[in-house]
Amino acid sequence: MESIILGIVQGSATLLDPAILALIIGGTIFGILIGALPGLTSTMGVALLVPVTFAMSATQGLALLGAIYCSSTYAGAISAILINIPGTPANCCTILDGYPMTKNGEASRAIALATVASAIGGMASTVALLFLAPPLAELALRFGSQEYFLLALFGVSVIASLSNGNMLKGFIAGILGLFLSSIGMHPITGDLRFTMGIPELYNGLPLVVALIGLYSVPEVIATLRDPGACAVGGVAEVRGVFGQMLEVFKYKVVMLRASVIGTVVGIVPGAGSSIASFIAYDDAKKNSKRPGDFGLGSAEGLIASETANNAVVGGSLVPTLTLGIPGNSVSAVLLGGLLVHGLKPGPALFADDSGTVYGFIMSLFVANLVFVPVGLLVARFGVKFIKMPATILGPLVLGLAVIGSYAINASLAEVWIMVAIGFLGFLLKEFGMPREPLVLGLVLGSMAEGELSRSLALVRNGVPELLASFVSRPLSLVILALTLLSVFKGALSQRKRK
Amino acid sequence: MLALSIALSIKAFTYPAESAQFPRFLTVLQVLFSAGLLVRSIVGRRGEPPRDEPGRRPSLIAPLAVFSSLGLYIVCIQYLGYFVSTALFLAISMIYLGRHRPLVVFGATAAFILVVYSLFVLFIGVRLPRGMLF
Repeated sequence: MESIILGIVQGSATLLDPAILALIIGGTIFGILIGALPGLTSTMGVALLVPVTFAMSATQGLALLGAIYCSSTYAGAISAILINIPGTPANCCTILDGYPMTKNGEASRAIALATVASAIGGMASTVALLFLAPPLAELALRFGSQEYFLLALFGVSVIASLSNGNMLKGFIAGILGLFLSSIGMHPITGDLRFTMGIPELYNGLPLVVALIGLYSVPEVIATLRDPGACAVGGVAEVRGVFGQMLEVFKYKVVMLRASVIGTVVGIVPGAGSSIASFIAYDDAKKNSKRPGDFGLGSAEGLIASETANNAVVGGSLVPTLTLGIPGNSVSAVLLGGLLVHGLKPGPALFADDSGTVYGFIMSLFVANLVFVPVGLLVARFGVKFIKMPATILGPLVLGLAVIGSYAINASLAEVWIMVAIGFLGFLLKEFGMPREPLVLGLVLGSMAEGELSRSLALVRNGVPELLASFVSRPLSLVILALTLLSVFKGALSQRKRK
Repeated sequence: MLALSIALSIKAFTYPAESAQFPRFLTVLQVLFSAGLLVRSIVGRRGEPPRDEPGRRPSLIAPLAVFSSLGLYIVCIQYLGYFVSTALFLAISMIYLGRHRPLVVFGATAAFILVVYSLFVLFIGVRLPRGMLF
């Protein structure tokens, strides 16, 4: 404990360097631009600026990269709320309540809530990183194939919550999403499935491209069909925003639970922010006094998903810094940044390079504070953008969808894939099927299939042996129990509503 | 959905068993759920009283216009390059949708292309397709 406090003091002292503060502000602005634009991901943003950090000191470089990570994860909420396209996969749950709030004329309130919730989630997980890194790293090491598969199953149990009363349609959409995730190479055998000879599908359906198509195209069609119904209602100005920001503190319990969920999911390498936000959303819905409001512009739903996805930031850095195992793709790139500056991740990092490490962690606190005013300023322009008439906004959103899909891998084939998924999204919307379960299936499917295959291989393909291994491993038992509890609670609350 | 599920199920059974366990399981499940949805919708309709007025079907003009224009746009990118195709796509779309003031159309198109060029080309370094002109 004394060493942690000493580290905090050392780390805070490094922040007095004006160059570091300038880099945090610059990184925040860059990260917000990256995150708010569909097609550009946090990973891309951090990777682009790693070479720029070569000329900087380790603390300066890491402060810049950390600021980009925090702000880009948050900024995806801006496009999710304003134009119904998640800026990053971490924000696909934000659409569920963020965009309905915009349609209700509460765009500025939605952005204010999302901004503060993201900052709080990010800071909470940074506290966990600061004080709980070693025990959390131990927990991360206990995750094997069985635990990963059960985590995916736990995520799938959330599908019922996203189905808005029509569970059969929700499950059909969820299974479709799981099926779409099986397109491409089998994780063990390497056999190609359902690729139709398209090389861009060999590695699976690109998630960001699918998200852009699924949400942008159907919304543009709906807007063009009935501009009056889809118009942003009311005066969506970003004035009086401080009052709206303070409103988030009415939902302290929601934020606390979502922060814990995001941090814990973040420490599991490969789990991802989208899983954290779906689980937090489901948890908030099941524990809410007004679950019927979810999906119609519920502040709780928005706050839960945004708190959780930013809480993943600190969580993902736990295995990255303490074990050298990246929590997700962004922290993998950050790990590269660490190595470039001569830092060796592992238990000794906190002792041998305490000034740099604690300086980096303290800079994350500052970054989570800086993105609040910067994000609100960017959102002010975004709100003006969405007040444009549908005859201008529609073509611009489609143009953005095309460039966003192209920019990921500089591939026109992926733009065609975006249009095809857009057609699927249109059909789903036309027949009243929710799209969120499909997204969840897409996110979880490859993890579920891959880890199930590995688990079966470990027990030599014996299904009874596999089931026995779930019960014999304490962590598996905990996740299984949480899954059953989640399903039971969901069924109970559905019955209460009827 | 039922027809699609059956077709995908048949395709899934053509792949080697070891690689296709997961999609086979999912497509069979999908067939069952889709059949359940179909039965439910038929039973539901039989229970409803006849409608006095025919329901208004949503127009297919908007979806047809969006998908065909997107398809044409992507094809044009390969031949005319990204910037020329984008300018044409945005301008023609806005004019077709009723936005006739040239200044507004030009302004919105120019602003979009400027933002894309600054951010994606200059800042991030994405190589956009070049056409016959640029």
